[in-house]
Amino acid sequence: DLSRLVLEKNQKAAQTGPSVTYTSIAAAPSTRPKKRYCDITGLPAPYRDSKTGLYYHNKEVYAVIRGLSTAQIQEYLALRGAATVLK
Amino acid sequence: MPHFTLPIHPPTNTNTPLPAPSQPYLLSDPPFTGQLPSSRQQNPPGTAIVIDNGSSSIRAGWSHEASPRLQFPPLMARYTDRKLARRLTFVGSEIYFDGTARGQSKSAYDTSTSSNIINNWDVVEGSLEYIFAKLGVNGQNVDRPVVMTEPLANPAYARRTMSELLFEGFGVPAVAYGVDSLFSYDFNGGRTGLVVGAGYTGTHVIPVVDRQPLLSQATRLDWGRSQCVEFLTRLLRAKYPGLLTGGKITETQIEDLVREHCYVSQSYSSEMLGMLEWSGLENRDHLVQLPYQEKEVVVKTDEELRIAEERKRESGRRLQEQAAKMRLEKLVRKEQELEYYRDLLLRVQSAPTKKAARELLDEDEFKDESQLDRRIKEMEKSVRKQRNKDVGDLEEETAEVHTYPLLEIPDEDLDEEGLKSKRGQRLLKANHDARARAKAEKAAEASRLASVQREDDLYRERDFEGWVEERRSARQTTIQKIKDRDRFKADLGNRKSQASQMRMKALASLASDNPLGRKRRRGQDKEDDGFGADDGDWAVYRDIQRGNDEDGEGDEEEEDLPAQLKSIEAELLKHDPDFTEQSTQEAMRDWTKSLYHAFAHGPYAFDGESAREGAQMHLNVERIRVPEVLFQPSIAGVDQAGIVELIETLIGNRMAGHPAQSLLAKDVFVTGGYALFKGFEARLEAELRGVLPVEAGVRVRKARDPTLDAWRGAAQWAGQGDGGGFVTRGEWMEKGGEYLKEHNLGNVFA
Repeated sequence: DLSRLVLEKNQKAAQTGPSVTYTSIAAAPSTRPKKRYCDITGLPAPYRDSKTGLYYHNKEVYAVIRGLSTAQIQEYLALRGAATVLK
Repeated sequence: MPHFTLPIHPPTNTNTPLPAPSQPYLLSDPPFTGQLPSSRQQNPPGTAIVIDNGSSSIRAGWSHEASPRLQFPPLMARYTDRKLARRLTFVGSEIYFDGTARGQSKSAYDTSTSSNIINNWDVVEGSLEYIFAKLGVNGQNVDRPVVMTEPLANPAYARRTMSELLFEGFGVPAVAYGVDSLFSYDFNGGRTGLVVGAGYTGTHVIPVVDRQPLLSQATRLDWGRSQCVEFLTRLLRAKYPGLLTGGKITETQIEDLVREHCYVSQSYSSEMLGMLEWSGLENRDHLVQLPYQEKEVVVKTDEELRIAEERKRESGRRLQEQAAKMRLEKLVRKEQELEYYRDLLLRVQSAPTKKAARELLDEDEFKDESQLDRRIKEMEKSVRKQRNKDVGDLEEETAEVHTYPLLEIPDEDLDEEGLKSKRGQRLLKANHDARARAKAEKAAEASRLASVQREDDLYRERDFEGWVEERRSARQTTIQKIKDRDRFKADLGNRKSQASQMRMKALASLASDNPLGRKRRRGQDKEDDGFGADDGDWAVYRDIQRGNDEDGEGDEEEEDLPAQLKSIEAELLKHDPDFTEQSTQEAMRDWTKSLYHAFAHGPYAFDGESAREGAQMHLNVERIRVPEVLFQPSIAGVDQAGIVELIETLIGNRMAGHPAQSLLAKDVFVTGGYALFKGFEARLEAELRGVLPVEAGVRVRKARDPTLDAWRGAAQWAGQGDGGGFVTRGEWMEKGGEYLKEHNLGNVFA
C-alpha cells in the first residue's frame, strides 16, 4: 500500500537524527509585539526619530538626540541590535 | 448656608535640589581573600567527588558533606615568572593575588559570546588539578568516582574531551554527568513541575514529569548575569561617554554593581514612568563614586607671590639695562661713522684734483658730494635723536614745525628737489590732519554715548514702567534672534533644507559666467554685469558664508547677541524689582526640571568642573532595565522570546495533549544565580498567572539555596549509590569516548 509505505518512511526519517542538541534547544524568536522603550533613558517611548531611528520619550530627549554624533547614535542603536553593520 | 472653599496651593515651580548623598557607593576590586583550605583527612571509601561545573563558579567537594569545600571562578593564569624562573599557576580567585596573574588569566568559557560550553581545556585541567590537590586526593591516580555537572544538551565533543581528561589525565575510575538545575530540583523535593534554571550564561526551562525530564521540550534563553554585566557596561558607556574608557573599571566591578543595585521590577512600564520623577528620586537613584584625582589648585602664599613679583621685576630691569647698553654701543659706533664721513667730506673738499676727489667718493660708493652731504646730515639727525632718548645730553631739538610752506608754491616754480620735498610735506600734512580728525571723532563719540546714557536715565526716572517694558521687549527680541540664528545655522548643516538649497543657488549664480540667465539684458556688456558697483552687492558673500561652529570668526562681524542679552539683563537686574536672578535666561534652563539631568545626575546639582563629580555614575533606570531583559529580550536586542512567553508556549502549545500538562504550572521551580535578584519569583508568578488559565494553578517557588543546591543535589544523588549513571573507565575505553549512561537527572544521548 503506497500511502502506508510513504507514511512509514516519513516517520522513520523523522525519527533519525538527534532529538536534542545544543542549538535545537535555543529559544525561538518572539511572536508577541515588542514594547518600545526610549533608547536614551529607558522610559516608555511613544515616538521614533525618523532621521536616526532612535525611540525617545519626550521632546527634551529629542533635543539630546539631535545633538548626538554618528558614533553615539550607532552605539545606542547597537544596544538593541539595530545598528548598521558594514561587512 | 456656610460656604467652604479649600485653599488651592499652586504647584511649586521649581524642584528643590538636594545636597549630595552622604555615603555614595564605591567600587571595589575583587580582593585576594586567601587560599582555599586543603584537606588531608581520610574519607570513607564509598564517597564520590562532586564537581558542579558552572559558568560562574566551580564548586567541588565530597559527596557526604553538606556543602562544597571549594568555590572558585573558572579562571586560571599560568606563566613563567622571570625573576623566579619558575612556572607559576594561579587558579580561581587566586589570580587576584598578583597583577601579572590577573593580566594573564583565562576563563574556561568563551567570554565574548557568553556561552556555557567549555572552551579552554587548559583551564579545566588546571582547575581539576587544583580541586584534587585541595581535596587531598592523589592527582595522578584519583581513586574516587566523580560526579560532574554539564550544560543541558552538552555537545558530544565537549563530553568526550571531559571524559578523556578525567579518565586519561587523572585516572578517575568512574564518571557520571548530570544537569545542575535537575539536581537542584531533585534536592528540593520536586516530582512534576517546570524547572527554571536561571544560570550565569543562560536560562533553561525544563519540564519534569514524574521525575523524568522531557528534554525534547526544554528551551534555553541566552540571558544570564554575564549578559547583564555586558549590557550594563554598554549602557553606562553610552550614558557617560569617556568615563568607562581606558580600562578604569573592570568587568568584575560591573558585576558587583549588577549584584548590588539591580532588582526585578514588579510592573515594568509603570515603574519606569515613575522612575525619573523628582519626588523620591534620591531613594531610587544610586550614586556610584569612581576613583578620581583631585585637580591641583596651586595656592601660593603671600610670601611666594611677592618673591615671584620681585624676580619678574628684576629680570625686567636686567633686560632694560642690557638694551640700554646695546643702544649706547650702537650710538658710539654711529658717531664714529659720522666722524669718518665728516672727515671724508673734508678730504674731498680739500682734494687737489677732481679726479682724486672722485676716487675718494667712489671708495665709499657715493655718486657725488651732495649725496655725501645728505648722508652726513641724516646721520647727524639720527645721532642727535638717539642721544636725546638715551643719554639726554643734548637739549631737545625744536619741535617739528607744522608749517608746510612748499604747498603754497605751485608746481612749476619748484625744481625736482623741491617737488620731492613738496610731496613729502603734503604727506605729512595729510597724516597730521587725519590724526586730528580721528581724535575729534572719538571725543564726539564719547560725548554722544554719554548724552544717550543721560537721556536713558531721565527716561527711566520719568516713566519707569515704560522703560521696563521697552527693556523686556528688547530682551525678548534678542532671545528670539539668538534662537533664529541657531536654527538657521542648524538648517545650513542639513543638506536638504531650504536654507541650504538657497545657499547652493547663490553660490552657483556667483560662480557662473552669466548669472542673469541666458538672455542678456539690452545694453549690458558680456563681461560687465555691474556687480560691485553698488556696495550692497558684497553682502551676498556674507550670506553664503556658512559660519561653521568650529571657527568662531563668523561671529565677529555679526552682532554679539549673547553679550547684548547679558547687558540688557544686567540693566534689568539693577533697576527692575521684578526681574530676579531666577528670570534671567540662565535660570530659565532650570536643571531641576530637566529629565535628562535626573537621568544622568540624579536630584543633585552637577558641577562640570569638579573632578569628583565628573567621576560619578548614577544608576536609576538601569537598576530595573538590566534584569528586565529576561522578560523582554528585545530591550537588549536579543532575538528570542521572553521567559514568560516561553513558559506559556511550552505549557499551552507544546505540551498540549500531554496528561501532565495541567500539573506543570503548579510547581514552577526557580533555581540558579539569577533567582537572587529581588522580586524575581514574585514577578514570574504574577506574569504567569496573567497568561495561564485559572485551572493551571500557578505557583512559583525558589530553591532553598539557589546557588549551592545544584551541588547538594548532585551529592545526594551520588550518595544514593545505586551506581546508575556512572560510566567506568573500562566501559569508556571499550565503548568509545561519547558513551553516556542516561539517568533521570542528566542529558540524553544525542
